[in-house]
Amino acid sequence: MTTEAHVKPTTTMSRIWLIPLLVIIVGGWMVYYQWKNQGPLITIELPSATGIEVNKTPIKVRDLDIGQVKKITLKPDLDGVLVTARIDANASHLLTTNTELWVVAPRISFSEVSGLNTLLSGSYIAMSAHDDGARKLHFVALERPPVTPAGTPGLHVTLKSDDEFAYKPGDPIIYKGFKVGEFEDAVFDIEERVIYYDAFIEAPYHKLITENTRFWDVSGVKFVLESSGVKVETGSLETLLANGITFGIPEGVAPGKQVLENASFAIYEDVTTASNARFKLAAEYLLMIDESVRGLTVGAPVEYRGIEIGNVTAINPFPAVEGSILERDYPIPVLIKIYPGKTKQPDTQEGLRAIKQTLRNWLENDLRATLRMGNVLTGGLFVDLQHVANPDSKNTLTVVNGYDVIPTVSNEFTQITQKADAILDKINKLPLNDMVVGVQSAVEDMKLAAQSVETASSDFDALIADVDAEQLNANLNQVLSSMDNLIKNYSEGGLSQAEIKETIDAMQDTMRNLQPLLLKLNQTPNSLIFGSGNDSDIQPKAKQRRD
Amino acid sequence: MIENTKATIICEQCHSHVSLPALKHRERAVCPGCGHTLITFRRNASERLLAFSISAFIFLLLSLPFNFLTFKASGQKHSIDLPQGLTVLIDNDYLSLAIVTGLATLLLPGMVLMGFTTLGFARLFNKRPPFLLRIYRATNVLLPWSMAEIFLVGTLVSLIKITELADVAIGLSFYAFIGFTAFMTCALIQYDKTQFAFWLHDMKLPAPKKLDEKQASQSIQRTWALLITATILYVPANVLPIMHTQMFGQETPNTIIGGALSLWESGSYPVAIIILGASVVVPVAKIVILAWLNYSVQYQKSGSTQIRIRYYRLTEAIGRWSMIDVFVVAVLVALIQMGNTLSIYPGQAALAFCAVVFFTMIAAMTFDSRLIWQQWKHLP
Repeated sequence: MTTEAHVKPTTTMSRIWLIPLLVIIVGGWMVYYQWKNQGPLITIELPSATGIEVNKTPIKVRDLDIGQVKKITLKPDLDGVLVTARIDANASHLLTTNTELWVVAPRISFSEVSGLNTLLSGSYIAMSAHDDGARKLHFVALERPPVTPAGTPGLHVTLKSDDEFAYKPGDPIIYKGFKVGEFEDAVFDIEERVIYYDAFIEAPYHKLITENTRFWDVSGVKFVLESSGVKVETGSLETLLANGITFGIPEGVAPGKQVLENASFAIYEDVTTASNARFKLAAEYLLMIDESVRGLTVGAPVEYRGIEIGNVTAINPFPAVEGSILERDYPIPVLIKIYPGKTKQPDTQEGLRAIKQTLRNWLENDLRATLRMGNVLTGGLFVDLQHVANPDSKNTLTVVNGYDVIPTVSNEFTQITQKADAILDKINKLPLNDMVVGVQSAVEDMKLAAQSVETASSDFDALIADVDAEQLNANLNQVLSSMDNLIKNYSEGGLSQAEIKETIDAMQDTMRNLQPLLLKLNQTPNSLIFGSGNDSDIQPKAKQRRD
Repeated sequence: MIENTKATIICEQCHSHVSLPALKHRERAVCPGCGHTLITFRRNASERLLAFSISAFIFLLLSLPFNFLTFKASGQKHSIDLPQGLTVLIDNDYLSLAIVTGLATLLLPGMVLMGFTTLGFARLFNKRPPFLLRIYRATNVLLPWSMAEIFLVGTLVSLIKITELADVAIGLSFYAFIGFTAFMTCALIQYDKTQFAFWLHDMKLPAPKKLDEKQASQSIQRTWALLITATILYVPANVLPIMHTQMFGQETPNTIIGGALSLWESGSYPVAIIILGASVVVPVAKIVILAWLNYSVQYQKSGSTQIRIRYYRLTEAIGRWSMIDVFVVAVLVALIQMGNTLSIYPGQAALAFCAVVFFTMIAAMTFDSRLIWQQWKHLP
């Protein structure tokens, strides 16, 4: 049995409608693709929008574009701008609480030139690469690029300084002329009046930082005029222009253990203070100076028999002694430190005790302090500890404010007495007896000489008398008259031309021969008698030394 | 629809009365007098038109929001979408260029597509609301000014130019734009305005525009005026720079011919030929041909009608393609904005050249080809 099929109209839809369907699918995919690849929008707070352009300025991680600035608006509180940027979807995992953003623009300072490529390409916003931490979409940009990107191998240290020099982030840390690290941050503690710095030492140089490492300033050029002379210190060219520090381990000190992250160090003024600082323990003493302390500086050496055993740590420290400079007999207190380490004692409490004990004994006897001129050129003074031969009085140890007082010997007095001593010594050593004898003999010799001069002058008189000037004149007259005759003869024409010439030549010769004589006579008329010998005058002769 | 009905039609190009035979699928009726295609027939044309128009319109919308092109040079990246590119032109004080580009590539094609969609829908469901006739006329007027495919070619040419300077990456919107142009072309193939005219007027076509002596004289005068305007504008279009290239702060002006010659010298011969053809040969040929046609019509030269009508059709067909150079400049300006490193600014010649193209296009439209056959002084 067959049943009739149901008749239904065929579908009137043409196949051409597949095309719009396909287009819709493709379009839908495009929208989905774009949506999927569109990363999150982030907002960045910046102090200003310098160099940032909408739809142009990229966000970069390690120079790879990961996003673009889409919008710039003024912050509601007007102290900056809010930059909205679209981050690529494949970089959205980098947006974490640890992420740092900063604007890269040309930056020229003494210590570095960076971002020059942005002169042409325009500024961009750089982002650090972190994928740990919680997700975050709002950022506050750093004011300047982070000096060392987090995760750089090396060591962070804390440095502190209360001196008159300061460092900016980016200033170098030099080791043997080689830049090994940088300052990253500076915080001034108002309470302590100390600046704390965060510094970073790059690997592998961070291994150089050990427990006994000392840091000191090498900024610019340092001229030091001190008791030992003139000293000029400079660091590298970089630190000549900017500030910088260097570090090292004082001579004769073991490096110690390598320090851990964020260890703290002080920055010393110079290499000397830095290396002095290696002595931890010191005995402090007070000097009471009655005279001027001009020329004495903090840090001036304290010497004992020419060996430096300590230094001056304070001059006129305010709380040390009561009273003031206006009082007439106010002695200026000078605080000194004596390091057991410098006296070859162990740098321990025992060594300190030993040095204190020894000094106390000496003080009770004859140890006195004197301010002495260390360098004539600079006028720098140093403290000289010496045993005085005849102490005025047996000293009783005085203690002021807990400091033992080392009695002083006046500087002027000692120096003048010393000088006087030296002069007297020299006078003592002079051979006075010999001198008297010598003088006597000299006088005798002088007598003899005077006598011989007398005889010489009388001889001379006689000689002068012998000279017959008249006869000489007559002779000359004779010559002249014969000349007269000759000329007469000649004028009478008695002689031939040749004869005359001969005669004249002969005469000329004669005259020529005569000339020196005349000259001499003219100059020294007595030469006719004495001759022209160069005999020196008779000198008085010293008496022959008796042996 | 035509296939079973006999109808007569007056050829719009030679004004001869032709009776149309029944056409089969993919057949066209050609005027025996001038060779003008009177009507084409495709099966399911309106359905296909609708499908293609909707597809093209979707792609047109998709070409707007996404990245169109990305330009990378010396560490800089600059990407634009199409509206943004127009904004760049406006920012550079070339609002006119932005308007021309926006209209010709996005707005007018969009309107044409909307017209196609409406017409297709109406015809599919055989509904003729009163506003349909207006939509039909508007669509036909806008049709020659929709230049999406020319913009696409212009973009490709500028890509070749840019790749010499830097890397160019193509974005999603660019693909969408290609899709839009492709489907728009498909829709244009499916669209036959005579078919729609028959349908809209219930198989009785309205009488074409009357051809009398006064009309003819007007047409000749207008064509002359427009041709002279175009000729005058062609001088600044070639003498003034069409764009300024600023490289590292140094500005170099480029004229149309100079640009084409430098392309030739740098070895990109095809691009040089395209630019040279589109911006020198085509406008000049068009002006010369139209002047010759207008002259021959004015002095009522008879003969060589077939040659003349062929040349006329040629000018009508290729005239739009001169816009390539303007679009190349628009794309380059929109894309290459990198401050002092490398920037391109439009020059005054761009506008002048744009005007040349428009005036020649209008001149070709005002020229009445029927006068090739008709002695206008003997018209009623």
